[in-house]
Amino acid sequence: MKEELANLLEKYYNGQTTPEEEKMLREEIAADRENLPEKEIFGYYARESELPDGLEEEIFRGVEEEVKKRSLRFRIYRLTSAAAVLAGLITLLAGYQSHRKSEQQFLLMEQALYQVSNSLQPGAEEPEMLVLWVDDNVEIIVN
Amino acid sequence: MLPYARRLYPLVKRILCSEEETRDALQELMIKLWNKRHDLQNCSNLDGFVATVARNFCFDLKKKRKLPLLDPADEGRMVAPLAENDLEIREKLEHVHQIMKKLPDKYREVLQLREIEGFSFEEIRALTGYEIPYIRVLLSRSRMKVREELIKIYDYERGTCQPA
Repeated sequence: MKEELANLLEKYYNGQTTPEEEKMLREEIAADRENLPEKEIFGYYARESELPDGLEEEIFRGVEEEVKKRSLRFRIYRLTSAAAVLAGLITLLAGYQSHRKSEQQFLLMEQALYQVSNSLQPGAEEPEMLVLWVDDNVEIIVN
Repeated sequence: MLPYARRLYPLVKRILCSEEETRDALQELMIKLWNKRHDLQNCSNLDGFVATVARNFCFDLKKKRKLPLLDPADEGRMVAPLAENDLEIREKLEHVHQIMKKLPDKYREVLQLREIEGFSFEEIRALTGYEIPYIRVLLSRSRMKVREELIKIYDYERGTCQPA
């Protein structure tokens, strides 16, 4: 075994190697002709950390679709809430209008009834009065 | 954001134990991280933070979906060595797996995070809460233990193969 490789292995077993050194170590061990136990150990690690092909593309596509779906859903929510607010306003306005209308009708009815009742039984005429002086303490009225 | 998907894949797969669940979870995670991108800019140990968010997200997901809880050493091993065609290679890879399975939890965890999931010491510190010198000690011991045990198996096999 080359001295350099032996040193690197020692560093590795002391937990002192950097990720770059570990990568280099794995490559060198894989290329080494000797049947070192590290060959199997690193082989196992490499096998366990294998990534499926096209992982990033697939995730990117998935994220894109999801974002589109969510923005569409968000737009639908916005439209629905705007429509709900509009419907609420229209209902309120219609209610107010009908309330005003019924008030006017009531007033008209009241006037009509008053006129009818007045024509049936005219109220006693108010006696004529002449107010000469009004004060906090004194009121001078002439009949 | 996408390089994270690559980096987090082994960790997520180990926890969720399913290829399909892993892809879905990573997709969801990427969206989560993208939405939080402004907060992430001020993070001092960003990679460690992201790894921790990913791990917690996976545990939550696992609980929510009621996914089966496997032996921690068997987590994520749905395909790897068993898919190997060559019986001899398969057997050898299985040796390492069995050795790792027998390691005490914290030794195995640190070894898995470093060797299989490829995390830096800073990231492992964020994930485990151990200080870096301690992580180095755990890593050193577990690496030596794996080698030692493998050599023992070799010696045993050589012994049984030799004619009496």
